[in-house]
Amino acid sequence: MEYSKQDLLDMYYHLVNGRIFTGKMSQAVNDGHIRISYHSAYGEEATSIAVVSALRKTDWIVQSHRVQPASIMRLDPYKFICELFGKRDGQHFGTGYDFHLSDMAGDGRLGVPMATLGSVVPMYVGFAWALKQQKKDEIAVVFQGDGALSEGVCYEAFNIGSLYKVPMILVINNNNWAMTTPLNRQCVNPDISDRAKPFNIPTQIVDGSDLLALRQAMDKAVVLARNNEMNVVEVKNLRWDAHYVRQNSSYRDDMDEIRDAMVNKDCVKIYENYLLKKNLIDQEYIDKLKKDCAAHIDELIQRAAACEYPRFEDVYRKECIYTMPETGGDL
Amino acid sequence: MAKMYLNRAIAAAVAEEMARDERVFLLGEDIINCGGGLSTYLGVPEKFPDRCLDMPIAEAGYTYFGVGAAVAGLRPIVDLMFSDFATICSDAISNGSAKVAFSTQGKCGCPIVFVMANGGRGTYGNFGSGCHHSQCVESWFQNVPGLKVVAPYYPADVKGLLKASIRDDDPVIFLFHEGSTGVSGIVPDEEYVIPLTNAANILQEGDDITIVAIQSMVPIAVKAVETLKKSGINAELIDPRVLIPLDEKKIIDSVRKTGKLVVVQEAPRRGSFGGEIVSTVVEKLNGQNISVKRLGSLNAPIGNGMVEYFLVPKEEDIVNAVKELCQK
Ligand SMILES: Cc1ncc(C[n+]2csc(CCOP(=O)(O)OP(=O)(O)O)c2C)c(N)n1
Ligand SMILES: [Mg+2]
Repeated sequence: MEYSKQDLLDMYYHLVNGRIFTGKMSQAVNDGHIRISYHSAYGEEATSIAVVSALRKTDWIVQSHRVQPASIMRLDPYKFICELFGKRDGQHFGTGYDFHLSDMAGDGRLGVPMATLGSVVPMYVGFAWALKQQKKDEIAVVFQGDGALSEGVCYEAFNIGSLYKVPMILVINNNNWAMTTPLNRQCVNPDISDRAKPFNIPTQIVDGSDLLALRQAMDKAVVLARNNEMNVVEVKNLRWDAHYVRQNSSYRDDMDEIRDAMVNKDCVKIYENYLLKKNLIDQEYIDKLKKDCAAHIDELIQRAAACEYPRFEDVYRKECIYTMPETGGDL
Repeated sequence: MAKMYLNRAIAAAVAEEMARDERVFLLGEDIINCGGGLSTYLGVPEKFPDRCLDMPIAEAGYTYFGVGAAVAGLRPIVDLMFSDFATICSDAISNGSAKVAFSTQGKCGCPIVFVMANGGRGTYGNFGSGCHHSQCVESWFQNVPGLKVVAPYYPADVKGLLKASIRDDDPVIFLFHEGSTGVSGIVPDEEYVIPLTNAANILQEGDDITIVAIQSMVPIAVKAVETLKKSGINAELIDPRVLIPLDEKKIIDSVRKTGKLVVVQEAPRRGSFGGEIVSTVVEKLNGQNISVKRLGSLNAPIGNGMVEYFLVPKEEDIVNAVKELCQK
């Protein structure tokens, strides 16, 4: 498929912005602004960008803990940064962080995520079925990692999802690590999407450093999902950072591979070279974009740092605990 | 006697028990490279490589794996990281391990320990990690016959009680407090085991009122007791350390003496273990004039960040509750 110039440049903007955001948030951990484990998407940004660009604004995404570049394509980045900093201007008054953050009522269409790994897979099979049942022309895309796919509920979900033909895509971000455990100590077959095949679920495997290949795979996946064919896209990534920023990474035995990937398999550089070759951008364009993105995020960080912490009455309102507060008992 | 961090006390207990009994083995996520997801077993995999198993992120499966191994004669220690994740394997715990003895009419036990971090990092005002990483689960399991529940606070208690839990022939939910893994305390050098029976510790004697503080609330209650002394109130402070089997005698004897009881816990107040303690005491002291008060977290899910602290009982809550009962 051919993409328009605007489409290609939009993706480039989001990719660059996602990369810079990722770096700035690592810095924010070091600066003490982020005080909960931050799971950096460093090196894996293209996965987020390809997924969200392939969707309509009315489609749903369900974030994992490592797709912040996707989240800031759907949410006001200032509100998102405030969530990471635990500040009052956040989408959820700073109490959602990233793994409890949703936008069900606004334009973001971020589904309710779960910090218990794997659980979103069956949950959004049901969600997607309900979209179909209500004749909404919308699909749901769920992000989970290689490690999360060891949860048994994922396979119950595959069975139910293929049986009930649901408009859902599972994006498996296979970055070869779950916390400090390498993939080869989690399972014997490194191609995790193979596990969907016995359920007659279509699968694709894509290189996470190639944004265009990712986008093409996502476009195919979206067509399938719109025809109510649940399917899986497995993205082969390599986790460049530790599990969380500032984790001691002495356990890693693949540092050579990472150094090599940073040079030869960097999704930003690869896509940049493609656009340069097509004469869609030049060095001046690149420099200006990077400078502008950095300046913008810096400004948001400053504002978020100055913002106050949430108050009791912001957060613990009775109607946020029970939708029918009069029947939920006392706080 | 040396100072030891709580996570090191866990590692020491596990290493000692693995050295003592070849049937003991450890399984969970991130065991080999990280000493467990919360680094509570540092050094153990190096000492016992054949008995430390990395598991995929499959709590339901690997907890049942442990139950099966226990039924076959081994003594597994199953690490679950955060107690919140116990929901994922609660079938293995509540329907599996808890029913083995009954389902074999006592012919076979299920000697297994489920180790997990209970409660939140926000308890003492730090940034907490939200509603899937901070809950207290003791009351979720108290109503399942067949399970034992251990909930100590101090590193020395953690070590001695974990050793007893590993030696116990029944399934034990072993809770350490998540916000206190960096807490250090004096731990005896010589080997010791703290039996699960009669485990309550009277941390402070007093005649005016009884305070029972569960796990994370112990250090807060210790401070409250000091503050109360200045107002001339001498509280008796009890740390039950083990919830099932509960050391009822020490608590009841104390309330018989003081006539007043405040229980304080980090778990939400409604449906809590503290409520169970109050019921037990009231029932045993039927006919006597006693007054009681339950303190616990508010009835709300836990938000990320600073707001977790809003929910949990604080020193002033204990002080106020005590004064209220003492004025009556
Ligand atoms: C049910 C459950 N078990 C364990 C955890 C703790 N945990 C958080 S992230 C993580 C590793 C996830 O690995 P993966 O799915 O590969 O995602 P990645 O971090 O590599 O993006 C673990 C074990 C959890 N959040 N939920
Ligand atoms: Mg991974």
